[in-house]
Amino acid sequence: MSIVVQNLRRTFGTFQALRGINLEIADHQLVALLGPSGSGKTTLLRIIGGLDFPDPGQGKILINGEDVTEEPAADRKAGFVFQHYALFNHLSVFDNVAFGLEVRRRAVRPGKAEIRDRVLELLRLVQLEGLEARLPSELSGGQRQRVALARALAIEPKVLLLDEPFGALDAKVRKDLRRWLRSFHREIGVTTVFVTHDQQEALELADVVVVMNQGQVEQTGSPQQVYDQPATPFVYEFLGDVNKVRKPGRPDLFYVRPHEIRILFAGDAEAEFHAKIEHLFAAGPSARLTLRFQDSRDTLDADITRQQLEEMGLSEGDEVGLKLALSTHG
Amino acid sequence: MGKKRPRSILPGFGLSLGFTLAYLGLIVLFPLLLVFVKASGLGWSGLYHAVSTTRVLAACRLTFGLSALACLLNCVFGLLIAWVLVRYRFPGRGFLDASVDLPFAMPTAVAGIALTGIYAPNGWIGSLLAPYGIKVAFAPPGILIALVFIGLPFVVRTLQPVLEDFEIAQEEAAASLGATRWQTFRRVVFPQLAPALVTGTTLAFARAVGEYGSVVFIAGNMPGKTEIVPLLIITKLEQYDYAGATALAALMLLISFALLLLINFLQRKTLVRPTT
Repeated sequence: MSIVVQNLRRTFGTFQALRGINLEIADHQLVALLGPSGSGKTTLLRIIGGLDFPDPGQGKILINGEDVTEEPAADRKAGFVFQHYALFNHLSVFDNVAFGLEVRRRAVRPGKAEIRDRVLELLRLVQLEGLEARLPSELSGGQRQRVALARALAIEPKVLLLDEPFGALDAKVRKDLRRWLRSFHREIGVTTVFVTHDQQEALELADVVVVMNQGQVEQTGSPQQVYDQPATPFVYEFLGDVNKVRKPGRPDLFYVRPHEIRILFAGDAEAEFHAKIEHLFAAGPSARLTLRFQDSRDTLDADITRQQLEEMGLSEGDEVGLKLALSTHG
Repeated sequence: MGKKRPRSILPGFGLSLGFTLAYLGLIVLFPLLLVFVKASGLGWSGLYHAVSTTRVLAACRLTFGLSALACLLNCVFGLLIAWVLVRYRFPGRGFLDASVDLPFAMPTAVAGIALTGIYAPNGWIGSLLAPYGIKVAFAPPGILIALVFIGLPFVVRTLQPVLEDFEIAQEEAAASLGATRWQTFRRVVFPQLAPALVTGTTLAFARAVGEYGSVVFIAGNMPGKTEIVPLLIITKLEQYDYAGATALAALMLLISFALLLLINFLQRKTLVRPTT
C-alpha cells in the first residue's frame, strides 16, 4: 500500500532529527532511505511504523490514503524488522513467528491449526523449514534476520519496514541476503521501506532511493537518477566515488566520477587538461590512476579498463591528456 | 622428570586453589559439617524427638509460613519497585534507589527496634490500629513486616540488572505485531524476568527463614504463638539443651541446602539464553 509523508518534523530536545520531510511511496515499491548516521532515516522509519511520533501537529503519515499519524504501533499493521532483530529470546522460532497471530483478539484470531499452517508456510518462504523448534540463540545472524522477517510478515502487514536489515551481518551473508530480499520482495509485493547507510546496498536493491541528510530529503529517484544526476553536492559525494577538484587556474569546484574521465595521449587534440600519472593500481577488471594536474596540487582518481591501460602502454610518471564529463556545483 | 602438565599462561593456579579450598573449608564447610556431626550423636530417634515437640512444630510453622508470605509480597512489590527504578527518571530516584539497600546495610537490631517503635500499640502506626483491635507488634503481622523489610533488597537487586539489560526493541516488536501493553508484559517481558524473580524471591525466603535480629524485638516471642525457629535455638542453648539446639540447627541447615538446590534447579530450568 502507498505511504505518504507530509511535512514531518521531529525534535529531540534541541536536536532537529527531521526538518520537514515530504515523501510519496507508491504501492509495491521497494524503497531505500539512504543517508549517513544522524540523517534522520531511522527516526523517519520509526514514525512510519508508529514506534515514534512527530512533534505535535508537525506532519502527517498516510498509509493507503488513510491518516495514521495518531495511530499507535499496535493498530497500524506495519511489519517492523529491527536492526538487531529483537527476537523474543525465550520463544522458539515457531512461537516468534506465531506471536502476531496469537495476540489477536479472539474474534479475529485464527484457530490453532490455521496458525500452524501459516507459520510453517512463512518459514518455508524465508527458507527456514525444519528450524521451528530452535531458540533464537541457536541460529546464525542471517537466520535470525529471516525469522524477524517472517514474524513481521505473519500479521499480513500493509507495509514492511526494515531498519538497517543487513547492518549486523558479515559481508558474505549480507550479499546473499540482499539478493534474496530482492527476489523475495518481487514475490510478495508488499510495499517495503528499508534504512541503510550503505550506498551500494541502496542502489543495488531499491526501486527508489531517498537520500537523506541532516533531517531533510536531498533527493528522491531511481538508483540511476540519483547516481547519474545527483541533485545536490551532498548526493554527489555520498553516492559512489567522486573527485572534487578545482580546474587548473580557475576557482570553481567541479565533481567528476572516476569512470567519467577519458584518458588520452598527451598530444591528443581532444585533450582538455594535462596531468601526470602519480600512481597506478591495476588489479581486477579496471585500473585506477591517481592523476595530478600540471601546475596544481589537486589530484584526481580515474578508472580505465585494463585493456586500455595495456594498449596505451601507460606507466607511472607518464603525462596524459584528459577529457571530462563535467557536472559543476557551487 | 615427572609428567608435564599443559602450560597455562595464568600463573599461581596451585597456590590460589589451595587458598580457596582452605578458606572455604575453614569458614563455611567445616562449621556446617560440625553441626551434622553433633546432631548425629543424637541418633535418628533422638533427632526426631528433639524436633517433633509441639513448641518446635509451632515455631517451624510460624517461621516458614510467614517467610513464604513475606517473600511472595516482596516478589510482587519488589518487581514493581525495580521496574519503577529502572524504567522511569524522576527527581529523588537516586535516593530511593540507595534506600533499597538500607535493610542490607542496617544492623538488624536497629531495624527491629525501629519497626517495634512504630507498630507497638503506643507507636505511630500501632496507635492508629489499636482502636480497631488490630495488633501488629508482638503478633504474627509484626513478624511478617520485619521479614518483608529484610527481604526486599534481594528481589529488587536481582531484578534491576536484568531489567536494565532488557532490549526495549523487543517490546516495540511486540507492539508492532499488535500486542497490547499487558500482552507485551505477560508474554515478552515477564517470562524473561522470571528466572531473576525466582532467584530473588528464593533468596528473600532463605534470608527470612534465618532472620533473627529484626524479628526478636517485634515478635513478642511467646512460645507456640510468636516464637520463631532461630530464637528457639537460642533459647535451647541458654537452657543448656545443646542436643535440642543442634538438632534444630541441623534441620534448618538441611532446609537451606534444599533451597539452594531449588534455586539452582529453577535457574537452569528457566534460563533464557540471550542472543548477542
